[in-house]
Amino acid sequence: MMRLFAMKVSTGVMILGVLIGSAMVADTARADPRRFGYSYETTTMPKGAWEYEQWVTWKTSKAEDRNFDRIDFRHEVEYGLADNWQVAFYLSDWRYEHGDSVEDDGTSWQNVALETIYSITNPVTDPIGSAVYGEVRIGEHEVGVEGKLLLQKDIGPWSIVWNGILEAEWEGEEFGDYDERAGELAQTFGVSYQIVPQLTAGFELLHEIGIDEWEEFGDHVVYVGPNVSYRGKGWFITVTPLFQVTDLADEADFETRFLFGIEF
Amino acid sequence: MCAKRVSTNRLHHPLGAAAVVVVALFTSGCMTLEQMAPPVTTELTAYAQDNGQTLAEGRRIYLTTCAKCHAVEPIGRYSLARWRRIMPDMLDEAKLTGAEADAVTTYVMTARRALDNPAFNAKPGA
Repeated sequence: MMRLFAMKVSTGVMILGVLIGSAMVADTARADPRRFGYSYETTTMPKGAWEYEQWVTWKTSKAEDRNFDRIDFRHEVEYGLADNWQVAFYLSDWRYEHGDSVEDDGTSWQNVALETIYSITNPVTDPIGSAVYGEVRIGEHEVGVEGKLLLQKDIGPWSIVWNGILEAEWEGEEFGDYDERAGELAQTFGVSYQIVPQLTAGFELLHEIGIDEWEEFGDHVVYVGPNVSYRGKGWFITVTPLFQVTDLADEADFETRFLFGIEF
Repeated sequence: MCAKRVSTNRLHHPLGAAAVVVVALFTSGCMTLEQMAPPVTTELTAYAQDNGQTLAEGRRIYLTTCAKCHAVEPIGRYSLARWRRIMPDMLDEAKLTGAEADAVTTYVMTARRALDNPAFNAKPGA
């Protein structure tokens, strides 16, 4: 058991090392930092700016399957169409997973996606900052759409965010033959404090409810954990480990997301 | 007497102590926007060589574009000399046009000069 835990920790440390290493060699470009791992902020990229974001989300250990591990990778390119409007392309989402509850251990490609965020009000100068988010994704076994309402308020060094999320997904065995449908309601809440202009820390909460066949609400799952973000000249890294505070045996007990962004 | 005992008990409770720390942190970091970045008033424009329109545009950029990457920095926190060292890097990072960079620089330098004057600080809204 301890050996398994040590292996998992060393995997996490290795991923973090790669991300930090990449960040250290890339200090000449500019980036639009994200202070939260699971919550989007209402502000967008500057007009004309490009950014590459690398996501790594690691889920591990279910109550019903202690050997479970899943690592999701996302390679994202963002572009500022206007000072309050950005688009992003998920060049490829892919996954490695193994465990007793996993049908096929190993690596699998998931999807490509297009995302856009339109900022409506500003979190500093308006009573509350707001933005809308839309995403369309297409994969071999799924298509999905996702909408979010993003709210944020910045007060001095504090930043408080809330995201409301509605997701619809169609799945099937073959490309184009999507005979299963499902939905999900979710919300995230986050608070972040700017310790120095380069470093912020706080916490996040993630709450998800599945809707099977758009007919029946599933169980609620809630994760809570800290977040830390550091930005350098032209890059940032954000780490958010979350712990399940509900008691769902088929959901991971622990998940963490590493984000690394660099502007080019 | 009773009220005092309740208050002490609250502080001894771990959650109560945590709440006090959070509130203290929250309030200690809270200056109003007007204190951090003085609004463009006739008092402020008196310190500028440019017109109020440029200052207003500079303040808008300072509160929106600059604050995308970090919290709004109180202008009075740094000296004029320090701002002269900070600004070039920040302007580059924010991807501002030449006119936008000029406007925000004019605003920050003007506000900093004004904040050096005790009479300006005493004005309501400044």
